[in-house]
Amino acid sequence: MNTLKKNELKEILIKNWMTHDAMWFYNCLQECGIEKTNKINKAAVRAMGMIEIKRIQEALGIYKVETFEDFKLLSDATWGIVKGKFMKFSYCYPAKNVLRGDFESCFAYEGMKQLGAIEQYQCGIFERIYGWFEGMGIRYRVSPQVEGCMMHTDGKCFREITFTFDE
Amino acid sequence: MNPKEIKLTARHKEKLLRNIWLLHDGKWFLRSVKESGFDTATKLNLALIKSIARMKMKQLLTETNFGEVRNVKDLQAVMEVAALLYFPKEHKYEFRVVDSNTFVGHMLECYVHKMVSEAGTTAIHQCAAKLRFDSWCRAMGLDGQVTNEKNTSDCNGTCEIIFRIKW
Repeated sequence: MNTLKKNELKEILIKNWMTHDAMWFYNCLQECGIEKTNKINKAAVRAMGMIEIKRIQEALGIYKVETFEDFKLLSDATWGIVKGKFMKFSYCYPAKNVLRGDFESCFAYEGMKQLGAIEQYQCGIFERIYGWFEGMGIRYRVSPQVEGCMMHTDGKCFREITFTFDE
Repeated sequence: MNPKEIKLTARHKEKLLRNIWLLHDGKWFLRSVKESGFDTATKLNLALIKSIARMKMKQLLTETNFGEVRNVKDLQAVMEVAALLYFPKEHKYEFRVVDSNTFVGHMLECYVHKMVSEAGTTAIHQCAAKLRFDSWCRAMGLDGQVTNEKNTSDCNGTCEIIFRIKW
């Protein structure tokens, strides 16, 4: 039997976690329909994100996020923990107080297409990230405002998030 | 302490990922209860466990290149790796080979029972252990029976899960 290397273990854990999430969505969709499933999914992931970031802050010893530098430090460290290789996106800080994320592809979009739910699917990916911001207790604005799935409607997906540090 | 100096160990990252995954699962369940009631949420949870357990075991066998599970010693080896990978660290258990056809998992302190007790819902919660291990056996291609005589309402956090396998 092969032994798992640390990076392989991380990938298995993240893949299984996301599959587990997708299976919740699938089963919920079958039982409750898309409207209720969207509502449950977004509420669950945002509530999770709020606690998730607090646990990561505690682990890293970054208890307060008071400046954009604090934010960047925490954001970079968080992605280092929770990002799987199959999550094909990049992010940057194009200006002070601005975070931009661009998705090359999206596993949620691909999954929802497979389920036949993409037309009505409301993105849960960014709910997790907004949950982080709420958990950090920071104010932010998002552009563009998207209800459904931008990858589906526009063939690309990005968000620009502006914070209010030092304003 | 300067957070820039803090680096998480692989073990610490793994612990965080596992805990946040469980948190996410818990949030799905709670939101499902809120939106659809306890019975529907339980039904969803059990359906989910049945399918995800099989997937997890298949993935483990593939990633570790284990090959065929041919006897009770092989079963013990797979179960030990699977438990390390998929059981929460708070789960306390022992495995025992009884004879060439019988393998026992003795749950000493069940993490699920602990969480359900804290939520005050042991009387109505449905234990998914038998379902999970049935799915693991199917994923390993085993012919046999898994029995667990207890449920959450009467187990007090301990139980014996008996695998009787025909080789």
